[in-house]
Amino acid sequence: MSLEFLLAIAFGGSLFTYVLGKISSKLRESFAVLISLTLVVMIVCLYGKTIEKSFYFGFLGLPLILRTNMLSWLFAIAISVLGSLSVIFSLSYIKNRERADFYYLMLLLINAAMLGIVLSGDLLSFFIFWEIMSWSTFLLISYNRGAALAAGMKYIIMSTVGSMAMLIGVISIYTTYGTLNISEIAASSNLASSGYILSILILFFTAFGIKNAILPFHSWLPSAHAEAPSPFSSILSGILIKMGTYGFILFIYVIVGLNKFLNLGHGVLSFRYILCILGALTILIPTFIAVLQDDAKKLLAWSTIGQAGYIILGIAFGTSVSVAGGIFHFFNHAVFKGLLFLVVGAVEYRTNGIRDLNSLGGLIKKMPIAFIGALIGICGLIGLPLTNGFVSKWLIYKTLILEQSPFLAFAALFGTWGTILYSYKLIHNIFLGQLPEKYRDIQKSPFSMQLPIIVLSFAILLFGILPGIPLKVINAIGVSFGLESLSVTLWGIASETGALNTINLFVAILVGCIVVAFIFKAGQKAISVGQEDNYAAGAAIPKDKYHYTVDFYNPLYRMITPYLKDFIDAFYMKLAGWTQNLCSGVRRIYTGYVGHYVMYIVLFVALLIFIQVKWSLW
Amino acid sequence: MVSPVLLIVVPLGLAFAIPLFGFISKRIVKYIPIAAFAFNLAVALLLIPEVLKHPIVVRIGGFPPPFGINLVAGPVGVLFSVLIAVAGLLVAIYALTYIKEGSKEKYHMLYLLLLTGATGVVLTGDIFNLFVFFEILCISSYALVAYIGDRAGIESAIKYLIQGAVGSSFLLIGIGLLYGLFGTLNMADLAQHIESASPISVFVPMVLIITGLGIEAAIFPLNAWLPDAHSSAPSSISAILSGIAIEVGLYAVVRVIFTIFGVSSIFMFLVFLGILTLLIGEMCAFSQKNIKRMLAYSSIGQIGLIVFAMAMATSLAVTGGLFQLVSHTLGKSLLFLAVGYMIYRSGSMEISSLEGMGKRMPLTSLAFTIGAFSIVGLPPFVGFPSKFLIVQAALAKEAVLFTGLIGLVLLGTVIEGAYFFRVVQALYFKKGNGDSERNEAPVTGLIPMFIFVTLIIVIGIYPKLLTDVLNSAASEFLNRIDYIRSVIG
Amino acid sequence: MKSIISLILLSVIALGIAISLDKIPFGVPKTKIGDYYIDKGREETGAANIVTSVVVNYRCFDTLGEVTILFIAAIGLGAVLATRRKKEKREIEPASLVLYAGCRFLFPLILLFGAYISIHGHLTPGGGFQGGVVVASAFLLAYLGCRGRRVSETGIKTVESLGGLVFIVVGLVGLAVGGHYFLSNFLSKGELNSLFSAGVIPIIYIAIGLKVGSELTGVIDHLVEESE
Repeated sequence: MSLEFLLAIAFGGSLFTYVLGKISSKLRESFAVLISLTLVVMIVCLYGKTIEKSFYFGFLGLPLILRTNMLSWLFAIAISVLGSLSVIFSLSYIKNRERADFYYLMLLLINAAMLGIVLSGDLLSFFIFWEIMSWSTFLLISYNRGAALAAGMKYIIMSTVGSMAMLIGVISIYTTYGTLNISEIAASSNLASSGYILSILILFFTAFGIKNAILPFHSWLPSAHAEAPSPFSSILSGILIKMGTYGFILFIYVIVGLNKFLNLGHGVLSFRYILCILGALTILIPTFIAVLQDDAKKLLAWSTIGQAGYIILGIAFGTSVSVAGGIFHFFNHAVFKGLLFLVVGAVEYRTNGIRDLNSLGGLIKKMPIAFIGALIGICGLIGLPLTNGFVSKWLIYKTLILEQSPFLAFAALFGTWGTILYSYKLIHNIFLGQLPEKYRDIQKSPFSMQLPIIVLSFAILLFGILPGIPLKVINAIGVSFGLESLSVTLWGIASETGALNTINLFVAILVGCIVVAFIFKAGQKAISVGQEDNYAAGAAIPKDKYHYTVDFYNPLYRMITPYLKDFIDAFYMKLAGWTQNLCSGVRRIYTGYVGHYVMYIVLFVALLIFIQVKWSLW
Repeated sequence: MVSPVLLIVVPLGLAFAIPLFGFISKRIVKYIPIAAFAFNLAVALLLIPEVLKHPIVVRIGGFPPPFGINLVAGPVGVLFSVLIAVAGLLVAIYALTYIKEGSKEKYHMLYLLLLTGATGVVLTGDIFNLFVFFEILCISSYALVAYIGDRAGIESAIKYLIQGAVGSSFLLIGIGLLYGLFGTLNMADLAQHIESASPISVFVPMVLIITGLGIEAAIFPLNAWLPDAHSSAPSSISAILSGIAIEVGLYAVVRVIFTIFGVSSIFMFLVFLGILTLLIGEMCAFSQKNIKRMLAYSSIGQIGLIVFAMAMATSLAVTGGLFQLVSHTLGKSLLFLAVGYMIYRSGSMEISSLEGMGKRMPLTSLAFTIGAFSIVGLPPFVGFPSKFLIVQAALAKEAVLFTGLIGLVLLGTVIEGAYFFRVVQALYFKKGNGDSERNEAPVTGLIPMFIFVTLIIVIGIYPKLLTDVLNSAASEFLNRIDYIRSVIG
Repeated sequence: MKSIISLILLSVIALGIAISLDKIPFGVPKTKIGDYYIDKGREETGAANIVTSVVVNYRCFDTLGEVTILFIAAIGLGAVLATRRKKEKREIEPASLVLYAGCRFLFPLILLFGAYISIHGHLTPGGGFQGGVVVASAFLLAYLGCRGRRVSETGIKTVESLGGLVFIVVGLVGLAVGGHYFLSNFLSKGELNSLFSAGVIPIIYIAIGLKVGSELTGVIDHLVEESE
């Protein structure tokens, strides 16, 4: 099966969905699901294949190439699976909203563009798909109106800055090497000077860093994630920003190559070390900003930035274990963050758009599936054993400690503590505690929302207990980069410096659970207390006045707020203000008086003649 | 073989004949521009394969150059003729229902003459003849800017007229000096002898001619008439002024610099002038609240980009500049056409009054969005390959200076993106105040818009349609020896 | 202050032009094509008036353009003036009898003079442009002297269009028959200095005369309409 056929289905399907929507909404929805599932099946079939093929020569004589290998496949499968789950989730989420045709068109278009990015074998098609993804994302972020407009503008402006940097990079590579084919560039990049490679990397990493929201380019992300429609937030956070990650991997390991990368600069000033520090900072600061958030989606958004820091840290560190950890963490993050956004979306759907953590609470019995999803999701996010997040974080910690990088290891561990704090806040303020009066009659999520939640929850546990499944693929990717092969088993990783064996953990936790169950059985005489009665020690509490989830972590909040202002965002906003002032200043050149205008013309002529007569410049 | 002279003469004759047609039937008049440009399009397309082999030199009246006037239909001339015919045809279709007020007969005459003048400028091989056609172009645009007859229209037409007149006098003085120096008006003949005169005495006429033409080409600081004129003309005329008139002015500047004077020392100055024009245009557009003014300033920015590309004077850069010129014509004409009906429906040019148009006029808004994306240079629209070529040309210079300048160009693109995306958001994602009933533009408005959309997408995906012509056009500009040889022999 | 700056700027430009003019020898006929026209003009075009041979034959395409410019100016003026609202009617004082009769007497004579200048453009100084202006001056006189009389707008338009069309059709016939050149002089050149000489030149000049005359009359008509 050819790749261009796959992309044709992806792009054509999105347009066709729009057309079908004009006929009937049922038809549109079934077709959208069909297309996204077809893509999953087609990509599954591509497993293990390596194809590289030029398919189009019409563009300025540059061949456009599509290719697939293990790396592309891993990203493609994540895109298509999360994409189809998000489409299924949208079925009820978007049902009664206006402009649903447009929504599906953009959702599928973005998925198609992302598939294009990971399947492209040359930098030109990479750039083209990247741009298509950027503008369609902008349109979909703005979909919710209101605050979404500002979020969309912020996104697209930063994204354009990145794209322009990338455009210079792409064309510079073309003028230097005379080709844009990734494998050909990779073959000839050894000859280039370090300075040139460094400048190219800086250009590209600006683009990737903006998309991946690493510090200091993160400031578009929180509002964009929060304001986008929730099923799309899950794609945005789970996959779309990871296109930046894909770019990082592609450039560091495929195009520049590991050796060259490690030798760019030296000591503290080496490129790799700076990237690692940026990753570490990206873990630390946003994680604690996330703790301060009261908006569920903003909290998840900041958490996304923090988790992206782990991924970058793992990838940039450049040992075989850390790279495996980084790539695996990308994959896991797609699963659990996708899940958490869907859970919040389900809650938002039933509470008519409320995502303020201070006014929610006690939904555990009303929306049990969503609760379970959230529980498993945050377990994965924190990295509890037997969830997938544990394995990837373990790999990263292990490298950092073994390679003696105390600061980075500390940052990674410290970030996890923050993660625990905000994760707990998230699940507690939504599902635990007192149920506000107005949510008494809330209904369970519809099945089309439950299904993606169940599938993703299951995936977290599956990859947590059997991490070998994805690690096999990731190991193959690592080997193709020229990294040492890890001895991966289905149960974990065998290693001299400390093996990981999830089966032992599984048995241990199982035994633990059995013991607890026995204790529980023994204490059966205890009285069962209602959900709300237990935190006022049985005393009656006034309805809706007593809600202790408000100002969660207040002491911590007061303690860290002064240090955690988003200076970078404030700087960008100032910059935007300055630009605006500058622009309206420049506009005053056009005064509106025709006398001035004629004066400009005369001045122009006189000046040129004067310069020429005086200095003979030309 | 069809003669290129028909491209000028047939529309001119039809324009003269419009009053006579008006006696037969008033309704027939508005179809005459369509017929004229359909004819021109056919002729120009037929000429393409021939001129790609060698340029056709037409002697008017049969006198050999430099004694008579001659037309030079090279790749450049035919490329521009096709462009003028396409835009002219589509905008004429749009005007069928768009132009409702005033004397339609006069509108259509002036419209035909404006584009005839433009065709004449790009085809002629004689500098005084260029001046004459240039005046036809300018004077009919003054009249058309004032066509609506409101205060703003007349005021900006008069401003335009004053600045245009200053420019024309400079141009005429410049041509006069050249004639005095070399005793000839034929461009090839002038080019042949230009080196025989002392640099300073050639420099003054060059500056005067460039200034005169540069006013129409909207190069900073000569472009102050543009925002007023483009925003107060009827939208169909704004489309032509932005899409054709300033491009033709730019053609004239480039032709004079490359072919007649052949000076390479002034290129660096023009590179900076282009960058300055680009940045000032984009920054002014950014701070606009009036949609047509915004588009007008954006045209200044685009012209700056084209000047920048042309002044780099490598074959890649000139190809890119011409490509950008084509994509600007397509994109900006489309934008003005789309905006025309939006303003008509909302009754105001403020961007805030266009909010919610995505619902009221979905197809027009779609057309606007595609035009805006193309101007910003997003794939898969036509603005992308052209911007790609320009960046490539700048980087191929392998100089730090040009890399820095291209950074500035792309900074301009970011600003450009910001204001266009803002409008797109307003169209689709802001709730309009006022009625939200669907009230789409009429079919005669939508057909030209969607032909532009189709062109934008098709060329954007398959730029090869254009690159052959553009390449030979670029080499016509750069090889003045070949030009001289093909005319003088 | 402003005027001083303007003065300085303009003097810089004047200096530049002076430098450039400095290189052009004064009073020496230097132009190559000028010599050519003087030497070969008569035999190539058949026109006794060399200026006419240049205007209507060597550089006839320019003339076509210039006629068009005049045409545009006339239409543009009409278009702009037509949009202005009419003011209230002013009282028109009738002209005195002497003036009235004098104007009516002079009117056909001026027309005749204009026609003469147009038709003899290839023989004597003058031509279509000058003749046209003379014709228009006759109408101006009529407007001034014989208040209240107006030319028919249809008539002006018809003559204007026909004048332009004749010019172009002559050119196109030249393209068709005269060796594939637009505006080529396909008629026989006749005998120098006779009325029926110089091929198409008189035809074109007559067309120009009609066109210019009717255009300027139209302009006068518009202005009179505006002032009323």
